[in-house]
Amino acid sequence: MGFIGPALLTLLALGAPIAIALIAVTVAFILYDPMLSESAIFRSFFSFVNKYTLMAIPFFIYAGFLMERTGLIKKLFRFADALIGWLPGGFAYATILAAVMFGAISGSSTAMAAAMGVVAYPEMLKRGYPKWMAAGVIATGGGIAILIPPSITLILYGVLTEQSITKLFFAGVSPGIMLAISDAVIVLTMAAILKLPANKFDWGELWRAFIEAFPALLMPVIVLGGLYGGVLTPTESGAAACAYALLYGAIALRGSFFKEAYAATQRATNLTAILFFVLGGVGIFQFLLANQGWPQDIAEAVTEMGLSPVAFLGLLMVVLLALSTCLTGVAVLVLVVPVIYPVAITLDIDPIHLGILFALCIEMGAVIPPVGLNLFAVSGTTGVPVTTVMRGSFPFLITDGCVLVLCLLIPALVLWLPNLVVQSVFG
Amino acid sequence: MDFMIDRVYRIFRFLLDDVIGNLATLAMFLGTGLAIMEVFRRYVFGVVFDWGQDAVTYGIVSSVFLYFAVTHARRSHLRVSFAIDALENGGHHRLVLFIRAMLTALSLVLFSALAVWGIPTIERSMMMERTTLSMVLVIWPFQLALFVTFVLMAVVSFFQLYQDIRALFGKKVFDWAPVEEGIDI
Repeated sequence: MGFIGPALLTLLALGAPIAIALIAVTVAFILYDPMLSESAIFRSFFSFVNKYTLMAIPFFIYAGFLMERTGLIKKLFRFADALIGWLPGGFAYATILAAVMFGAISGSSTAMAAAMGVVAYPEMLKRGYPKWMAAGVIATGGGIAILIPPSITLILYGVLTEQSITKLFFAGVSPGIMLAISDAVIVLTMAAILKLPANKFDWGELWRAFIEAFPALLMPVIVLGGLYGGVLTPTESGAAACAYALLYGAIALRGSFFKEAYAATQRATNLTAILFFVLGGVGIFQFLLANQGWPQDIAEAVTEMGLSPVAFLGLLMVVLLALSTCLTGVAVLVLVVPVIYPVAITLDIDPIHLGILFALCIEMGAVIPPVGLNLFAVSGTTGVPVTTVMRGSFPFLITDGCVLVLCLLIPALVLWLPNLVVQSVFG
Repeated sequence: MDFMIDRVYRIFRFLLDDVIGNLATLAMFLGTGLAIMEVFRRYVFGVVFDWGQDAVTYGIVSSVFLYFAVTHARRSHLRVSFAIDALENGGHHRLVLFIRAMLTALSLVLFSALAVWGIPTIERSMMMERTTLSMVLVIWPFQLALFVTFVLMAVVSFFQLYQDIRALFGKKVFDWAPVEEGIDI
């Protein structure tokens, strides 16, 4: 059965849809072995996606789309600008802060980068920011959403590894804030070098912007508060997010909201279908993995090499970053996690820590060429060449790398919050 | 011949995009509504339907299953495209078209096989009256939704294969069909 791995890689390289590549190699394996039943394929697909926990994904995607339709991003920007726009290079901080705030609603990095490209880029140019910096800040700021709850990436990881999504959400908070701070340090440095402009602080403007953005700011408080307080499960939290977004949209847009809500529902169904089709493929592929014993083989090889958990993680991060240069985040997750997760467990690596390291690599991958989806999303919405976006995002990539190394070497940076809160709230 | 197939595909896409797509969207909306209602009932009144979680899960997943066919018709899939893009940019257009046709043929075979292999599972579920976790909802209608989806995807693949083969011979067909190749997640 040595053909399975090369066949899978060939299909992927030829541009086959990931799910179809995974299903094709599993079908070949099952047909080859007379002891296995073909109907297992249909059953594996069906049962893998029918999980209540997975429903958090469509709910958060839906809530994000609904809130986007209400013009929320502009309001968040105005508030972020009024709050910290008085600092040198203030609008760049505001962009990062808005990314963190919208990340707490949407959870999709590329969607956010694209949306911010429309709102923040023209404003930055108007205020005298160079094109490369404006595009770089937007592309990198969008990536933070991967770590800020409710992150679709973390939900997917939780489902693939059967880990607590609530714990993963908590674990993503510290690295997410570290990324935001490290990005702010880069902006501060650039602002000093480029002598970037700053607004005057205005209490009146801050108050007006706060009132306007208040319904949007309340959403993460209600939704994530329920989750953090141990009241709501992640899926219920997603449903509550949808309820709030529908209510807010109906009040904010009145009659015209129903048309907007329909479009948002259709977009959410479309994106969920794309994701779940891949997940169904992973469900089938796991059947193959269980029979082939690849994770066990890798675990044995790693043990024989005498690699320490940190060395293994370091090696894994290099591989993940390399993969991120040519695969999208979700693809990296669904292809690597089922194979590597059992190996990590054998090496006593904390699964929550591992999940956050995956998310950090994917976050960096979003701005690493040639695939880096955020680069293309920002380039597409702003009309700036990809190379210019790359130039702007490069300094942020270095600090993101520092955050990754810190989180890799000091697991407590990631695990202190989930251990503290989950133990105290959930016992 | 092209004209005939074009007419048939137009009717099929109308059914897929406008009827099934809208039904799936509506089911997603209703499923979300039920989930919201269940959260409300649970935390305000302290009660839930026994079948609530299952109805939400299987209802939404079935709507998503049906939408698979819509996304497949638009060629919206997660894929690794850098190698194929490099070939295209390098001027190997016919090779790319050939690879694309081969992959579409593979999809056609796979989806047909998945549909056929699903029949015994559905029959067994009907015969044994299998239920979801709540023991209230029978499972076969949801499995049937997946079966129907695979059949629809096989039909879509057939038309796409026709399109790809015609493209190999330098003829464009189904120009009007909406396509969203390349997606951002």
